[in-house]
Amino acid sequence: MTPNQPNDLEQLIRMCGEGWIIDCFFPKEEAVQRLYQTLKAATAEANRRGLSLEFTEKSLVASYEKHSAQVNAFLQALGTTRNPVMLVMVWRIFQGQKISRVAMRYDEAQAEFRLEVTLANPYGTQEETYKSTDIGDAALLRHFGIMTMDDKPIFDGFYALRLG
Amino acid sequence: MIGGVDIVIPTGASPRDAMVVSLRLIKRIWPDVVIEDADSGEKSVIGGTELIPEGMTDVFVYQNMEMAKKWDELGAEPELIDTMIHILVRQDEVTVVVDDPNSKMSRLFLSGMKSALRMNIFAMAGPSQGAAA
Repeated sequence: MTPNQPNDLEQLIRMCGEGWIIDCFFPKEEAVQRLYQTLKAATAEANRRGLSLEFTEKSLVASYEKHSAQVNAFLQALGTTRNPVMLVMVWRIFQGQKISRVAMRYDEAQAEFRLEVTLANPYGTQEETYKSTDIGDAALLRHFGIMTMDDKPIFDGFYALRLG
Repeated sequence: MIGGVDIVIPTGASPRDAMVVSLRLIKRIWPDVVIEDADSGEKSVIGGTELIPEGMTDVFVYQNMEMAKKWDELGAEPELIDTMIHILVRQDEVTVVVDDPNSKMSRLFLSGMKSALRMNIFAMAGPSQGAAA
């Protein structure tokens, strides 16, 4: 481990400047344990989908060495949602999946919120759908790259926000 | 010999984010893209279980492995026009070197790059905290 490499999840979070994820948690002393639980649930969700992904302290720290920007963005997602489905979605984007469809429905009178993100492989031949009914997950959309290519609207990528 | 045209695109993105943006966009156009770290000469594909590479600052991007091998064998020959892009990422700007900025492929890629690299997500400050509780 180099001096600039974190040793554990909390160090990783603080090194990325995302200490709010722990400091703003209530009760604060349970924060890291809850994050471990969420990561474990994300691993289970990935396995349920047949994906060989492992969200552990060790794997995140290892990924940080070469992919610090994407790990930083993932940590912001981890601080935003407790939904393992959405965390798997974020990681799959990092692996190069395209965002092929986003559907969001909000109806105050019906007390209804639904978010559905469909990813596709680079050839567009295989799709994966990720769903949420937690309105807090709408915050994840702020991280999507928003652009056009030849005037065609594109969502692509998942990036860390510059938190003030 | 093919000549290269430098297109400089200003950005507020960090070099790492700028590299991710660049590689993601080119992979939309060339799904079988092969990248070569210009510093090490190491070639690799993007995809599978690996995350999008973000640490390079100077990269040759080939349409696919076949074209990467041809570039190695032939160099900048006319038959290889529009099969390789050179991307250099620096603080505050990305330089894209293309053979013909008016070709269909270059126009598509450059339009995406110019749009993506000026995304406000790379310039704005967001909320100071999220839903940590």
